[in-house]
Amino acid sequence: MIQTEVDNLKVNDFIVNPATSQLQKRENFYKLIILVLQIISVSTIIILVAVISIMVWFGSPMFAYPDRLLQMVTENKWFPEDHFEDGEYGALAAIAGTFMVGIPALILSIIWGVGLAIFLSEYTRESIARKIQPAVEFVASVPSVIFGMIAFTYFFSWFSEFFTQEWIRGIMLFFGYKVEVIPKGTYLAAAVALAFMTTPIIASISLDAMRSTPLMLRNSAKAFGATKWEIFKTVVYPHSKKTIFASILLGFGRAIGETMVVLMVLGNAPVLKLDLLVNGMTMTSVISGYWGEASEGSSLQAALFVLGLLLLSITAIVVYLASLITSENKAVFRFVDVLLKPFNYIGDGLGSMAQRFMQELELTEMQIAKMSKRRKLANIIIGVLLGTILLSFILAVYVSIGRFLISGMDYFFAPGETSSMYRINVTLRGDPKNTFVRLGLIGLFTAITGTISIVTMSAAISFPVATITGIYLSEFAPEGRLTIWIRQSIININAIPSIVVGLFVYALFSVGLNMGAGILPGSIALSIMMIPIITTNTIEALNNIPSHHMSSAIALGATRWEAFWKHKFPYALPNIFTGYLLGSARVSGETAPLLFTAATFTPPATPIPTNLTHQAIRVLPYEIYYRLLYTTTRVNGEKVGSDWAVAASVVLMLFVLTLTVAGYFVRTIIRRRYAYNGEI
Amino acid sequence: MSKQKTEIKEFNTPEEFYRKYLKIREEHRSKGFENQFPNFSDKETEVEFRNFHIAYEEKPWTLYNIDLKIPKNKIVAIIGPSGCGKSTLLRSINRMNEEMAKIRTQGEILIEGENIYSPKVNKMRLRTQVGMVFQKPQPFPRSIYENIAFGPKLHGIKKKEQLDRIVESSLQSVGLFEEIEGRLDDHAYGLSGGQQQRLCIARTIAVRPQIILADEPASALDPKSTYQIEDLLLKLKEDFTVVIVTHNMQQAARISDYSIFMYNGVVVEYDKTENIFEKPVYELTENYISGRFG
Ligand SMILES: Nc1ncnc2c1ncn2[C@@H]1O[C@H](COP(=O)(O)OP(=O)(O)O)[C@@H](O)[C@H]1O
Ligand SMILES: [Mg+2]
Repeated sequence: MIQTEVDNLKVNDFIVNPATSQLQKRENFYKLIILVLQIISVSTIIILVAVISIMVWFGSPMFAYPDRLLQMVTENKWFPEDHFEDGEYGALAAIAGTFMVGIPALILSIIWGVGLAIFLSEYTRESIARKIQPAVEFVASVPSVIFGMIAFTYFFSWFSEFFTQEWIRGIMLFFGYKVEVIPKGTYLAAAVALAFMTTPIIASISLDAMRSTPLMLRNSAKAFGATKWEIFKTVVYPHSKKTIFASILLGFGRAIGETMVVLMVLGNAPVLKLDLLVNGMTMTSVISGYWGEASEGSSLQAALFVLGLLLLSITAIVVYLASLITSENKAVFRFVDVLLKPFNYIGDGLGSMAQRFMQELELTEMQIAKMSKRRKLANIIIGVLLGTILLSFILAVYVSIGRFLISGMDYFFAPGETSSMYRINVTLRGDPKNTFVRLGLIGLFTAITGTISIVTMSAAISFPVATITGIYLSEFAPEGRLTIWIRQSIININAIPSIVVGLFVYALFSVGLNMGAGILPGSIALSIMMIPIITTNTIEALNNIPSHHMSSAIALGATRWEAFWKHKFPYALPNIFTGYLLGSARVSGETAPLLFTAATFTPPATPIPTNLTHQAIRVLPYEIYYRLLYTTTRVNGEKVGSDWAVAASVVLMLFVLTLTVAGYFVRTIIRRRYAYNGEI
Repeated sequence: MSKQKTEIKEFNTPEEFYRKYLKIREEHRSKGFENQFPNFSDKETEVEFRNFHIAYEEKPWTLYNIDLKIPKNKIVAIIGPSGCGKSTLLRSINRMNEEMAKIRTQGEILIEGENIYSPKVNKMRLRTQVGMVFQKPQPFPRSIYENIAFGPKLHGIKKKEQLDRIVESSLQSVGLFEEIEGRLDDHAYGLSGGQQQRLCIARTIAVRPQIILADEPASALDPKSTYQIEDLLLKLKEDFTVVIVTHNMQQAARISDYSIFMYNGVVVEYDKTENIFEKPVYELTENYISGRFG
């Protein structure tokens, strides 16, 4: 018998009866807040529209010469002069090259990304898969300059060794390809490096989709005795194929928009040849490679903007296709289905739903009970194959990165004439006695402080905008056209190639608003890169918090804002903060947007810039790229540049790693405040 | 069984069902059955539904022509098969429906003679008058104290002593104060499921409503905690009007004074609980209560 004491209840102890004026005030505040959120969210639309208009505006001098536009996409002669009347503007090699890199990278990353996702979702226990997953996802935060360095340093010799083997030559010859001298940078090398970068994107999105297959569907397939592979084919694949295809397209968009790897590896040679083992160029490498020669208002500059616009259009189409697939547009989906037929065999004609599978099986239930040897074998073979794919990715990436970093450590710690301390000291502070200042012996210290400054400033600009947009979209945006536009803008900003962001910021801020190169225009460029990342992360963090806390608060008389502010936002903070740190890690390695807007090689007078504009700064990723340019320069018969570039890479990796690890720490630390046994 | 199935097919929207229901009701009345809903004087009435309709988004009416009075300081149970609109009916009393989806309404709900759907009414104030307890125990992931103090603080009570007394008296009224032995700063999730649900009731009481709405408050609890909650509701009716949705027929019979039987968005029968359970007027009600469908 349980006793409940009600005698003590004095209902009239306090009358909670809020004054009308107070209620009115709270309601007005709510309306005001929503308005502010809306206005700030709309800025994402403005960014997108601004990027497109500025690109068009700066490319417009070329629009007066339709024959030049035609030449750009049909000829392979690139000798720009000051005016469009003179010179040649055919960039066909670059346009073709973009796909010569993009398509092999796409194929490789589909095999790696989808393969390892299937392996982790179907063939591995979830607890183990969750331990392997971070190793895959971390690769996404490795800066592209570092992959550029790796491709530049190792792939050449690896490929040379591989393709000059007699038996490989034999096989290639059989297919009608005669392996000749392999140049230092090749399409294949760039494609492999790009595949390293896009695989984690495809893998992690696909894996999420595969994991979200309803347990009921899986279990019913299991109950009929389906093997792991059959469960995937008949239940998981139909459920997740849309997202898988969308992730592949997003990865492809990333790959063709990537700048640093192709710039460092390809050698910017106008070779128009259907061959992966040659030098080449892409749209991004042409834009960044020829930028230095383009004077303001020149025809070369306009041509580069038009090239950027073309690139932007291609990535926009890719993103559009991806969004069509994920919404219910069947026709387009079928089109892509056909396009990606090599992959589609997985669907194996059993594309529809689990039901059909079960109906089929019902007929032969007896046979199912004694699972045939053949099916068992197929299951095992496919499992081994997928496991090998996972292993090959992890090995390829981590062996490359590992070897590269170890060689960097060698630079500091290998025995030599000077002590390790001395070398670390010189790396950071420079060597005043050394006369080869131009070659980079000025120490990385100001590059580190420069990176910290610019990342901090980008954070200050982008976090508020992105967090507010995320909050607005996930909690307060009414269904309607404006909301759809904001959502679409974020998706599209995310897909803008980083080099185009650089062009835009250069045009609008460096030239248009006369900011020159400096930390402010640079931070604006990085902010544009960061806003979609943080917005998406904020939305996800908020979606992970159960909404019943807000309902309870509203039922107690809170406004929607009060309920959100007190009983949703704080609980999502740990994940929002993690997003901040991971986003910062991502952009701290960005180089392309800073090429024209902020970065310099000249050492500054102070570690932290004193002016927001007209004062270019040193940053680590640019340091790596610039020092690499001097690899072939010898000082007293000794190569200098590459060693320094490797040293700078080690420092940059440490920087990125620190931010990433801090991100996970922060989450666990802040979480303790509210969560009880991890529960919110 | 089969008869029931055809009926469900026949009247797929609440509106169509209501038309059919009216005919049956008239038939009954012509045969001399007395099947009026209970009537109360204005003084006895807490909530009055007047031809109230509600619909989600662009769908047809989910509740059709609800017209009844809920008496003060009584427990009224809403029963009926799932999806018939019990929760929607409950949530229309504190206007929580519109926080979950786009809705449209027709008709009125009066509390103290004022239509709560009139544009003049402040939803926040309404919700201090009409509190709500949800199906699963869902305390905030905060301390026990903060859980209860949230409501009063929100509505302008700032003094520590006042808050302390509200927290104490609210906890006492649900019988938790002694149980937790003053550990007010402990995390609410450390309590058992039943204690958490009582904490949620205390949190609702803390803003001093007149009406407490409870949507299957014990359905996620073990038998002992369920019993505790029922006991508590019985005592709370001295100070509050309680409207409870329940799937549990014994529970409705045990604690409620009046019962509302709903079917397909329509209130079919509303009467003293003993009448509903012992001599229901309609076959539909009888079938449901005897567990022939649900
Ligand atoms: N938030 C909502 N949005 C749209 N339709 C809803 C929503 N809540 C309930 N409904 C619909 O209203 C009807 C009644 O639901 P509900 O009131 O939850 O019934 P019950 O509580 O009796 O199970 C159902 O058909 C349900 O689909
Ligand atoms: Mg319900």
